[in-house]
Amino acid sequence: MSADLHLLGVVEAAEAVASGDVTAEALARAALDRLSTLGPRFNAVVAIEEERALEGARAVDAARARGAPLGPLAGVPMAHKDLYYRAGRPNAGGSIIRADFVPQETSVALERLDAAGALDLGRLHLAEFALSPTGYNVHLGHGRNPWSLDHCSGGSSSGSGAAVSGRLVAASLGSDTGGSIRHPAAMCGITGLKPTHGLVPMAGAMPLSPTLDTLGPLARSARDAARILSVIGGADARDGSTLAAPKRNYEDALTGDLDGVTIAVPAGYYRDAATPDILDLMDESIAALRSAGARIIETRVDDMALVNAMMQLVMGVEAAALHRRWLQERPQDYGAQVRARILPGLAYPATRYAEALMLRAKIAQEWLAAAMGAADMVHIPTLAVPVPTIAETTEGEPADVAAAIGKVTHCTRGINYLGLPSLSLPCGLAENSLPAAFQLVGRPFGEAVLLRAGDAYQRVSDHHRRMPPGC
Amino acid sequence: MSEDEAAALLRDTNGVTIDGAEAKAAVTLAKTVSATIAAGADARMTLDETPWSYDTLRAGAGA
Repeated sequence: MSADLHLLGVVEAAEAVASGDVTAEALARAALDRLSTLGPRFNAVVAIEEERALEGARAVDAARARGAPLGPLAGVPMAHKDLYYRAGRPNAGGSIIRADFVPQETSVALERLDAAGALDLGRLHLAEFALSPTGYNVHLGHGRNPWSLDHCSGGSSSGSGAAVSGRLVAASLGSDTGGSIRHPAAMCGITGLKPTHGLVPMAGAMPLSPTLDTLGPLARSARDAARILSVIGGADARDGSTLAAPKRNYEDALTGDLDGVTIAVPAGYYRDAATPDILDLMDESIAALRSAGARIIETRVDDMALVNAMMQLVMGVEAAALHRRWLQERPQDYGAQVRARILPGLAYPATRYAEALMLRAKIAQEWLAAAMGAADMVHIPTLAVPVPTIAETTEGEPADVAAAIGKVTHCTRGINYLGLPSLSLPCGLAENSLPAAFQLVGRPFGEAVLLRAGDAYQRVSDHHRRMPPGC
Repeated sequence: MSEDEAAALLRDTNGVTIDGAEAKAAVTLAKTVSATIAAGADARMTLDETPWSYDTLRAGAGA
């Protein structure tokens, strides 16, 4: 079994450790080996923390040996986007401005993973300050896609996407402000869950735009994502936005079928932007969901200009507020694309920002009525076009580069303003032989039915099992 | 607005000194986005009926 340890997903690894089929230390060593050998190839790793990982693994093995109860993630090798704070450990957030930052607190999410027995093997690559949908980082170098090194890994959780896709770790936490979990999940062919805003506490994670920021898992399956969400979700007093958040076991929802579940497929804005190959894959995934028992209905969303503008303004203003001091003192230390995304936030009238916040619930209700109707969720592409190359998103005429980047976020960014949960699932390969994905968008705190649908889909399809060439 | 005027706006309001072309691009984008939001708000904002708190919607869903 030792040669295949990297093939174990979250649930499989936890079960293998619990049953004694494998030790946590063996799992950790296998993952550490892949992080050190394949990690640089994908530019996925910021730092490997071997000592911490092996110490944690031995603690799990010792607990099992003495018959102590094990957590639901005991011995599972993970590593996370380098914006999750751990007390005493450097955390640069993909920047040089924060290169010397050493947090004094550990994030709520990492505390919960630690308590569940997960192993933290290191810090993974991300876009500078989590501000790029492609994996752009002039300081660390661009994130690279395990399916093709010349293509974008997706961002900003670029290292998370590459590391899970390349089977370096079983799963990883990312963050999503405008698509930053879903982009790398889609581009790297894995499963990514952006939870409802306010389900997973943000305390101890580097903020970008607190109104929009969410934390969630990138994993190999919906079941693995469900297990992780069960651990990291739920209220914590350190993040007041989570005070209404439920605590539940999402695996209980995975019935394996979709009887009684209705999925809306909106015509218009999302599907009109899809290339023919992506559209074919969308339709195949809808057929598979129908075969699993779902009822499919058609709805319509014509225009997302207002929602996208709201998202752009809220993110810009909040990011500008967080970064203003550094923009004053060290503007040259930002990558050009990153600075260009923050600067407009300095120029918005305060009244527009207030309107964006005050109308959020009303606009979310409007979108739910139009896109979802009486259904349980909405099916739309995650990425409406094939995965772009790094060159397409960094070189050439600025307008062309902006257009290429804009296509990446076409289907994702508005969902953050709406605050809704979204599960991105791989659904095959586009014409360029790189992964394609769709997302299921739910109602606030509707993660359970999304994960149920994702799991049912993955029981009748095998796209989530496909691995990048050479991995 | 000229590049110099845009740069002066960001410098005077936020203390950020940047290249004029970059400042103009930022201010131009902000104006475009603001116009879209203003139109959306004009059609929706009421003094008493605006469910201004997203937390309210979310809490209702979680209850």
